[in-house]
Amino acid sequence: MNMTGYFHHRDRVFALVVIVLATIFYSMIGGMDEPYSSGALAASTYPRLILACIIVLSCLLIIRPVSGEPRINSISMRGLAVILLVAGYVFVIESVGFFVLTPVFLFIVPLVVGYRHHVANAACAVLVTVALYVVFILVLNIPLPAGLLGD
Amino acid sequence: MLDNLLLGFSTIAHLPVMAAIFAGVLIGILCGILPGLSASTAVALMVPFTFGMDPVVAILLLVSVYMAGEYGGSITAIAIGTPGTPAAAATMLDGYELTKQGKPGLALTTSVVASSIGGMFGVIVLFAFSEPLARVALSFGAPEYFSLAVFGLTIIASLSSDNLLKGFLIMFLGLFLKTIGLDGFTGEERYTFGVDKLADGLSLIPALIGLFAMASVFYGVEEDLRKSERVSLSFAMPRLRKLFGMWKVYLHASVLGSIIGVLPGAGATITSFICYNEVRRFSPNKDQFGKGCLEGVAAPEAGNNAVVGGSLVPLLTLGIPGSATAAVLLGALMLHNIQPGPLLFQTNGEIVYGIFAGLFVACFAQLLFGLIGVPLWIKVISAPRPLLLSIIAVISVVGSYGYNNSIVDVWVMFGFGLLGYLLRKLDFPVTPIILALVLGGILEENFRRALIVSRGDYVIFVKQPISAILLVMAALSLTSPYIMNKLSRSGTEK
Repeated sequence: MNMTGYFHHRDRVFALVVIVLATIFYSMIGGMDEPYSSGALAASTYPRLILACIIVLSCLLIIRPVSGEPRINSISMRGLAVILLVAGYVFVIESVGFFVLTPVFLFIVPLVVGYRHHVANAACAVLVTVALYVVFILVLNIPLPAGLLGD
Repeated sequence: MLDNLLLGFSTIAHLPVMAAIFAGVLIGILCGILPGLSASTAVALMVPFTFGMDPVVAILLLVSVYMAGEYGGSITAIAIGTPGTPAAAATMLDGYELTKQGKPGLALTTSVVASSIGGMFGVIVLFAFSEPLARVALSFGAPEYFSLAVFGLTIIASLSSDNLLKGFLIMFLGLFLKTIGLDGFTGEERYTFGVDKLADGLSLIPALIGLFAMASVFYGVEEDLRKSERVSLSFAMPRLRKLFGMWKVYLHASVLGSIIGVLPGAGATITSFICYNEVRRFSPNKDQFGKGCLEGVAAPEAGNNAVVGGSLVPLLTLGIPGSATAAVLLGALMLHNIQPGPLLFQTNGEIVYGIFAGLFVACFAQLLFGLIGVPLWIKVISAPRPLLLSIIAVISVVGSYGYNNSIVDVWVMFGFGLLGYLLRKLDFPVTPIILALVLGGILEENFRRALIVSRGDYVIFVKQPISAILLVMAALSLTSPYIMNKLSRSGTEK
């Protein structure tokens, strides 16, 4: 399948993935069935109803004729890079800590996106970290992960 | 009624509350101006900042952000021809035209006056209709609430997408995600995969921050960020007579906007276009629209601010949000242990009437800031987007962490951010999943409660008259995309 073909059929690909997942979830919930209640009142009835609707609608999405020009929304490298950066940030924030990691993150993301005013970027990274510290820790008393600087 | 009004104003007549309203309006205008930050994203981003606040202060801050955010988008639309919020796209048609003719001051002044009048009208509608509606809703039982949630979800799923199938599929996905966690009736775990923190379900606020803010960062960085707008504008004000000569336009758009706001599903964006087209249809200057006509600026702006008050009617009286932003507000209310619904008017009257009074003040603050601040606000447009997006990412992470001091919530936020990004890539609407996450709990709880009452007999949902009517309306709402499309497009295509 070439790329245009993929974009033409991506609704179907999506629907297929959803059907597979929904079927797995549907069968999973059978195991915990009815120790406390049964029939329409069981804990599994409502999720099963929802999953059945999801499967039916996904099937409809697959058999629906594809019409019109496919719109191409490809995922760019920049998008992917930022997604990975955020994932990394979340992954290590508890061990490294908010105050060490955040200025670094704030500096790198604009860099990756193509921002070239390094002084403004660095100043912004430091100022925003300090501002968030003041607002969350000093004013609102909401703890943030301390990490390396922690007790 | 007068007592309630007094109660409302006495609730907000404290320094912290007034400060919150003015700060909310400022933040709302700024967020509205920045392209890519819609009013709903702004409200979602602000929720973490209210974690430790007094509920009244917190809620008034958020509703002020909502109100002013809807206005702020018009500044960017008029100044550079890029709508700051999706709802300002209709304002751009004539607003940017006026700027090109060297008359941005006229458009900007009209927009703030119209927005504030529209906003106030919405608040009046909210004040007039919510109490009677709440009184009716007091008699609602489980079947009625179930059918109401069904109606809300159907109309949202059918309105938010040009493709019914996709809208409904996404809605059901949201409903499914909402079933994760301990079952409220039997205490059984559903799809928690042994993660203790998931027993309470996916946290709503982090999920909303993910869908709105994080997702907007992911697709925001893909746009061309190098071009920065330099704007310099002249600020000639329109004559007062001209400004107030348009009272019919304000009224027309405000009425339409607040009615559409009350109906669940249609948010500010569709309202702006409907108001633009409807006002144009009845205007004597029909052919001036699109060529830089002040009425074309006034109509969508009055309309999209009137939506704010309107959308709070079902939110406060029934606990059913009328728009995506109202859904975020619902999450914020529950976070502060305020359960919206008919009982709220009796148990927390000061909050309800405080919101009414606070929104009124917010409209004045918006008018004030809008009139004196425009030259300043314009500068915000040229703020570097890469810096902004990285700041939004950090606030999303920190805000989700602060919700419960748990990294699990941050991953929930991240997951929903990714989901929102992918859905956009696949041309799926995001609003149905948001409303499903918010309404899913109400839906299941009342579904099962009704079935317990009826001993498993599904007929109970059609035996109660109000419930039956709501279900019929839900079925009818499947045709609403055609009606709304016709309304919002008629006239645009000649």
